[in-house]
Amino acid sequence: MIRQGGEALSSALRELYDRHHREMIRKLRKVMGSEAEDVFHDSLVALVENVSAGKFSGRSSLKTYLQGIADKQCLRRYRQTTRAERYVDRVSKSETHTAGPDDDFIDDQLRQSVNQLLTHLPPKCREILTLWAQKYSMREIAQKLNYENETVVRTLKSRCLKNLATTISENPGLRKMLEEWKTSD
Amino acid sequence: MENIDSTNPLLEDYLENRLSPPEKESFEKDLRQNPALQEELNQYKSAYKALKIIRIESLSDELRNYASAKKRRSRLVLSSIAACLLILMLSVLSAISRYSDEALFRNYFQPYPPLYTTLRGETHDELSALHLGLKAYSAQNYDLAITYFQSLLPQDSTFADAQFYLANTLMAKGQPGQALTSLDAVSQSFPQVMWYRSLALIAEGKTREAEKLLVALSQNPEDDFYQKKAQLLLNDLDSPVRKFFFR
Repeated sequence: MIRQGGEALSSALRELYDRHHREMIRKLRKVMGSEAEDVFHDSLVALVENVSAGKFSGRSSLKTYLQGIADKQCLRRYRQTTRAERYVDRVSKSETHTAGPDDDFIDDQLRQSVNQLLTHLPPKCREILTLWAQKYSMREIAQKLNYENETVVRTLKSRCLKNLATTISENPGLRKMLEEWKTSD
Repeated sequence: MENIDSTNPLLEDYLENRLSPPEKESFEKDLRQNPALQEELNQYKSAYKALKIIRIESLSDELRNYASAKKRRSRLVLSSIAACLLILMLSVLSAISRYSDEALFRNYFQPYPPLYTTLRGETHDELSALHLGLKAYSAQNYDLAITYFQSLLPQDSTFADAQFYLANTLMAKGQPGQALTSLDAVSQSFPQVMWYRSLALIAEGKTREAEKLLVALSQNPEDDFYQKKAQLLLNDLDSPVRKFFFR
């Protein structure tokens, strides 16, 4: 379902949330307090990204894999705090967590710049690229946005992608940030 | 910064892994020989990275919305349960409270109707005061009624009508203890006296005494009206709810 993208991906995300929320939040709350929910959300998104990119081998259970991602998120978020230091100590002693799964960290500046970038695109491009980014198929996008057929959407998507690439190239700061952003892909 | 003037048609296919191995090899060869294509590829790579960030942001937003909706639903369910429990509790309390002494008195007590007849040969003045008292009693002007009824008693404390209506007036005013004193002064054999006496006793918490009177009333075949009323009140006094909560 995750690899299909689009609506199937949304359903999978909700199902994963329901299945793991209670247990993960209980664990995360002990080390992250009120930020447990945010860490859980970020971890789920990272899990979905990894599965979608074919990086989840299935050697461990999805639950263990998700826990591994959450551990990495915790380490990154609160490395400075005393509470997190205790957690770092505990996690670093655990072999299963030291080489945890990938999670793409996006810092706030990059996040904001990309959100702003979207506003520079024509509304049609924004809609098409946002849906395409969420792995909706060309047919699904055509249906959702009332285009004649998927060929029209494919052509528009190529144009919009070119538009996006051009807009980024015109913004050296953003381009540098994106080039330096270490994605797990 | 070099912009894209014309896009290589294979660029997207290459980045989305849709090229066959020979096509891929050929494209990579072009890449090595064509710096403009290399630049174009880099620009596209950045665009794909931006799209990945957009996807992650969209998924995060979707998750946040889903979590908020779930929380709202949970709160709604909890509020509904709390409201149902509250209503249930209030209903139970209301059901229980109707069996208390005070509630039973309130439910069963109705002032005896004012009857302008003579029970024995009263004088003209006595009748006049009694009638004025009954008129005030009828108009629920209980303080005035008490004054008239009491004005008759110094001359004849056994004046049954005056004592009986005085007792009713006092009960209507919520003074059952004083009403008992008036009822003590009249013959206990009248069913209506027994009935109001039992009500005043219940209001005073003397339910055992009241029950004795009510049993006597319920077994009186000559007065069907008070027989039925007494039986109903006895049933309420004997109800399991009352036994559990008030005894």
